[in-house]
Parts: sequence; C-alpha cells; structure tokens
Amino acid sequence: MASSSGIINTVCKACHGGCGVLATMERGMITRLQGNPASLTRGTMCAKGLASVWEAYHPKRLKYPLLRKGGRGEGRWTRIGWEDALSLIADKVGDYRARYGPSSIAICQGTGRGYNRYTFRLARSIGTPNVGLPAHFCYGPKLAVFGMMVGGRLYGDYHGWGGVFPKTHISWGKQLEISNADGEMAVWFLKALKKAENLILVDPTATRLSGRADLWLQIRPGTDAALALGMLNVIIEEGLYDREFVRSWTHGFEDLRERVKEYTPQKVSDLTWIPAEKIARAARLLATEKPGCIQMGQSLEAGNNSVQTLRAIVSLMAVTGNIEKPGSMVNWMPPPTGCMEDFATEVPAPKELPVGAEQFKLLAVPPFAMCHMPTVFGRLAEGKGPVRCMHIQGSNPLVAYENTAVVKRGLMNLEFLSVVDLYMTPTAAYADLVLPAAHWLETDDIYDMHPRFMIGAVNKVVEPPGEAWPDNRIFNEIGKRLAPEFWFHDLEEMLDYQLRKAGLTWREFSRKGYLATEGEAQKYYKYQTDYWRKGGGFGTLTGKIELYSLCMEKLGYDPLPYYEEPSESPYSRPDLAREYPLILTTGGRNPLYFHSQYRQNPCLRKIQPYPLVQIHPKTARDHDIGDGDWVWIETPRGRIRQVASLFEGIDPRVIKVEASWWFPEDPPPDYGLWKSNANCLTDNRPPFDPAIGSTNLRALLCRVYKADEE
Amino acid sequence: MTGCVEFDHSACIGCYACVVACSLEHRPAWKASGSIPDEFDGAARIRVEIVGPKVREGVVQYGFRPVACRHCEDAPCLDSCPESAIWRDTKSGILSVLEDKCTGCEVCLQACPYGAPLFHERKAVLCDFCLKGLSDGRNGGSGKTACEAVCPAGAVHVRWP
Repeated sequence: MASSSGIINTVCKACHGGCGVLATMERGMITRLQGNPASLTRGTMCAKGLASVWEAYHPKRLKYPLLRKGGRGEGRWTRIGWEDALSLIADKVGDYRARYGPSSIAICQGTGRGYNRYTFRLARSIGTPNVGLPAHFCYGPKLAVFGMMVGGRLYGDYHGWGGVFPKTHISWGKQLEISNADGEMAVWFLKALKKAENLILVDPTATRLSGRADLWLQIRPGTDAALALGMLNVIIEEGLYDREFVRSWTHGFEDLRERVKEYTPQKVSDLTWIPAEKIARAARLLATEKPGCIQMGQSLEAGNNSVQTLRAIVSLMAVTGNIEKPGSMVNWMPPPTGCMEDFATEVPAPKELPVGAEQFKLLAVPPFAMCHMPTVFGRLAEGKGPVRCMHIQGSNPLVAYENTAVVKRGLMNLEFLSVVDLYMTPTAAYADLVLPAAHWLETDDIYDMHPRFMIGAVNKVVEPPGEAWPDNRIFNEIGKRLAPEFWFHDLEEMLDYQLRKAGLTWREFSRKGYLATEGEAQKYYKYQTDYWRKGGGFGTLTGKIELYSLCMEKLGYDPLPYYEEPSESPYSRPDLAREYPLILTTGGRNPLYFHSQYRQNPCLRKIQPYPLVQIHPKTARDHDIGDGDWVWIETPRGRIRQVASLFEGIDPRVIKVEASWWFPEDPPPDYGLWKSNANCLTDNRPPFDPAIGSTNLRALLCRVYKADEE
Repeated sequence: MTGCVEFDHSACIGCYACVVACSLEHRPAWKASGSIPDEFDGAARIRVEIVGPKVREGVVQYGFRPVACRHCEDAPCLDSCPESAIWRDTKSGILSVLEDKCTGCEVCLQACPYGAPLFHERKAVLCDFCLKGLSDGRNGGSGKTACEAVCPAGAVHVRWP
C-alpha cells in the first residue's frame, strides 16, 4: 500500500533481485532506500538497488500507452487509453491465432525479473509454445543439465545451516560478488568466503576476487569443458574421488573414467593455456579439501558446447561427493508455497513445439519449453515465419540478442509488435504499441527468482508515474481478454491464488515480508530419504546422478561430456585469425549496470560513463592504443567503439568488451545502438550448442584499432 | 584519535554500493513535486580507487580502495584552505565545510594526502558520519552509517568520533 510517510518494507528487483529493502517515505516522496537488517540479506544492498530512487522519479519514464502513428521508428505516437491498448493486443493475438495458428505469436521477456511465471502462463493460456527469452545462453542450459543429471538445481550452501561452511570455493566464469544473484546472494557468498580455506578462480581475466584467490586459473575463453575434464582426469587417475558416493549414487562412472582418460593435464594445458600443475592442484583441492562449492557463471552457457561444459562441471561436483552435504552443493527445499513456477506449469503446455526445438531438443524439455530466438529473428529477417506477432515485456532484443543487424531486420518484418518497458528503448522505438511499466518500487508482487528457498513481498512504495502499470497486472489483463478461464478478477485475487498453499493471503504475506525454508527446516542428504523418490535416490531416470545421461542418449546426443573447440578461435578458424588475430570475449559483469538497464541513471552513469574494453598493455602498445582512448573492435559481423582500459589481468592475446551498451541520451530511434553494443559483433548463425542452441558469445575473433573520436 | 570511517581494503570488492548509499544519504532536500532535480547525480563523500591489476611473478594485485575524509588530527586541508571554510568541531573532532565560505578552489584536495575531499556543485563535501540520518533515528535503526550498513563485503567499519 503506498502511503505518504513512514517506512515500507519491500524487496529489490533491480537485478534478479531478492534483497530486503526499507523505503523511507516523507510527504509522499521516497527520501531513502536502505537494506532491511531484518531480512535474509541483513541490510546489505548494491549500487543498482540503491540507485532505484533515480529510476522511480526519472523524467524520461514512459507514462502512457502510445500507439504508433507514422512509420516504424519515426517516433510519432498517439496517446491512447489502456482499454484501447489491451483490446488492440487481444484483437491482434486472437486474429493471428485464428488465421495462422498459435505459433504465429511469440510472448517474450528478457532475463528473469520475478515474472517468468506470468510470461509462461500467458503463453500457455493463449496456446502458443513460443516463449521468447535469452535462455538458450542464460540459465536454460543450467536448468536442463541439472534436471537431467541431478533431478533439480544445485546451489552453493553458504548458510551454515548444517553447521559447516564450504572449505573450498571454485568461482568459475562467475562474478557473484558484484552481480545479479542467479542462485545465491553476494552477501552470503562473501561471508562464507571469510570462513573458507581455498578460493579457486577460473576466469580469462582478473576479477575483483583475484587478489585474494589461492589459485587463479587464467583460462583461454571457451575452453572450460577441457579444464573440467582434465580435473576429472586427475581426480579419477589419482583415486581422489568419493568412492562410496560414486558407487551408491552415480550412474556411469566407468564410462566417464574411460572418457576422461584422453584429457591429461598436459593436453588440457595446451588447450586452456593453464599450466598443467595448476590444473592438477585445483583438482586435488576440490577433491580433498571438502566440503566444496562450484559457482558456475552464465559465461559457461554462452558457448557452442554449453551443455557438455556444464555436464563436465556437475560431474566434478558428483565424483567429489560435494552434493547434498552441508557446505557443498544443495538442492534447496522451497518455501511453504511450493514452487512458484507451478503457476505456469499448471496450465497445459501447447502441443506444438517452440521454434527451434525440433533441432535443439533440450529447448522443449519441461517444465519450460522455449523458442530459439536467434532462429526466430533469423527467419523473420528472411521474411519467414512462423512468428508474425510479438509481445515483449521487459526486454530490449536489439541490444540483448546476437547480431544486431539481423535482429533489426527481423523486428522490422514483424507484423505487430507490442513492447512494455520503463523507458523508450531502441526496441520500443520500433514497436507498434508501447506500454508503460511500473517500477518495482511501484508494484505489489511476490518475488520469486533466486534463491529457491524463499519468496518475498514486493510492496508498492509509491504510485507509478502517469498511467504506468505493473507487469503482473498487464499479464493478467491481456490474459483475461484471451483466455479468461486461466486469469483473475484482479491483482489481489491473482496474488492470493499463488500463496494459497502456504495458507496466506496477499495482505497477510505483504505484512509478513518473506517466507523461507531456512535453518533447521532446510534438510541435507535428501537422496537418503523419500524426498525425491520412495526408498531414496535422486529425481532422475536412474534415481542416481547421471554422469552418463540416459536423457541425452534418448535424445540422440552424446551421453558423456566432451570438449569442443570454440566455433571461432585461432585453432578452429586459422583462416579467419589471420585477419582477426585477437580472441574477443564479451560480457562479464559490471556492478553498476544490469544487462541493458540503467544507462539513463545519472547516479550510476556518473561513476562509469562509457563502456570499457580491457586490453593488455602490451597489446595496446602494439596497436598504439593508450589508456582512455576510444578504439574500434571489429569482427566479420561489424564494428563498435569502446574506451580502452589497459589491464594487466588479461592475456595479451585476448580482449574483453562490455555488453549491452546503448546511449539513452543519443537521438531516437536507435539511441546509440550501433556505437558500442557488443551484439553488433556476435553471430546468430550456427554452429550452436547441438542440444540447446547456445550461441558462442565468449570466444570470438576480432581486431582492434584506434578510433579518432567517440 | 579522531573518529573516521575505516575501509578494509582486503575485503572491498569495488561494488560502489557505499558510494551510491552515500549519495542518497546526502541528497538535496527533495520537494514533494514528484521528481528529483534532473541534474542531481549524487553527492557522495566516498570515492573508490582502483589498484592494479598488476601481475608480478604470477601474483595478482587487484584491489579497490574506498576513500573518505579521515578527520585527521593534524589536518592539512584545514590549514591550507584560503577561505577558512573547513572547521573542526572541537568536541567531536569532526571536520566539516562551511558551504557559504567554500569557493570550490580545490586547494584542500591538493593538500589532502588521501585525496578525500569531493566536490558537489562546486562545494567541497566531507564524510559527516551520516549524523543527520542517525539523529533522525533512521538507517533502519541499525545505528550504522549508510556505507557501513549497506556493504555486502563487510568492508566498512566506523570508528565513532
């Protein structure tokens, strides 16, 4: 309930979110945001969350539904009412569904913002299999691999609920300390780190934890599967694996043993550029200094062999017995509401397959079937379907997806595009209908994203500007008009419904703040009980952790993990490397921005105004580049400019660009889209990961040279 | 010894949460007009220095050093200010800036061995221990400065004056 003064308890959603927040209100204005000391995040927050005050009051926020008047991208709009806007979407969707079938409609979102369950429920309720999101390189591979191998997601146990903290941490292509939680919160990780004995980093560049790491494996981008298989080789050859756990609770160990024989430390060293003795040392620490946790970053999913890379790393957790023990990798029990995603999965899934799922079969694996967006945009760019009509909430595909030029052509070929966002973005600028979203400070909702053991009450602090609406209300109102049997009279009824299993109403939960299964309520060693299956075992086909995956075998993929060279590297494409001699890695995490968000936030932008490309001083010297110079980075797809940051913590053969940049201060409709956006450099074409369609964004080839000016 | 906000450089991860928390704590008075002044981009009294990364014989030095006024007993800023705009509260030892007198000449910044003074709208600003916020009973009732309360790395410790 928004009120004019006092302190309101809510939950931050500035990234995936989840941190407890206290918002101070004075005379109807938010005057302070701070962490809630009584929440599970103990009063801590990050720069993005705190700077949300500037978002709530930003003068450039969208305030009213806008209908395109002129050509696409001309920037001429007519203000319309919500009733007309919703009727238009319902008419379009209904019309395409009747004329071309439900697959002609795609319902899209960006990264998970606590409304995944609404997106999927809407898509299912209107009958389309085409949910569009960037999951093929972000979280989809992890979900699929954990599902097939373990039967559920594993998280690092940083809580000490079992009386033990991890002794050994591996942070693998991950910057949990400064980035969005996709599993655990930075504050818990950092606290657990203080109690740890060994910290091993696997990253091509120095990260914020490098200075305190016991071991830094500076890996060649895209070769993580080789490293994991090499570590498995050492652990198995030296007999350091957990014999009892392996014998009783894993399937296919002998096959794995055979498979990893070829990945000797020396061979892996040649592939990864990591000294063989460091590979062996990391393997021995993980296997002998227990318990241990491995944080797997999203970077491992953005490669053309993502599924087998993750399978190799999960195999490391399994053979070392670092699963379901206190202080190791644990599958958290959900809060008393049960899994919130039931809200989506309770609606029957459409019979048709999503676009791309015939080829990339794991995209169709329940619970969340999704389409392959590089294929969707690729087909659209060539004037092909099946997608003709797209509804996007909270995503900026022109920045977020591979090969911006192709995405642009694809978007322009859509027959109808509606976009819900906080601001006019490059994507929204080309829409037919733009709808204003409420910020999380203006929303009542149930936070459910990560971690899996809690949900939180996102309580509205202030009213949204103009006629902006919260995302959940927009989903409900569209749903009501197309499939009323699955939707709700109003928002409160929808929230009550999702909390019913916990025996709470929204109003009660809103006051309570959060629900969590924590402390003694959280159980370890669940495979020794009837939790997953009667008589014990994991929730997999064999009831064991599948080192050899029956599911992969059934789908026609290699049931054992293997290494494959990145699709674009000096070794796989020596021809290309002559013209583009440097390895390009994109992405990484920035503590001030969340993907394409917050470039218009004055407080954050002041701290880092421009995108930075990390270049080793030696490479910079060779190219006559100085610290702070604007430089061109070029691949066969295109070229962009970023500001050189001379950085000793990177291999001279590698450069790293920041992703997701656009410039809200630049003129519409593109808002500087082509200037620094890393996806101008990436490809939407094969080779993809054969099982789930991941694109290679982390190991490409490029060249750099000085730019005359910004 | 005077009080100051201490930063544990070995624990800091350079996330800038303290900087934004400080900006928010020291915001100008927002009127109930429904929007923040367009030009306001924060008035933090903390900045973060990046050290490295240097790689020497395989050892990585890469760190983040938040910097804020240390309220030195022997304060060069106080002595150097040509306008006598910096003064010390003799009871608490806290240094602060007289806004009316400060001309934004940055002599104090040159004099400070830590480079601590920051400038907002051409006036020097120094750490004030969030005393206004604390006296209002805010900061979540934690009794901590905004930076100490928010830090996810546990890298901020206040030595109270």
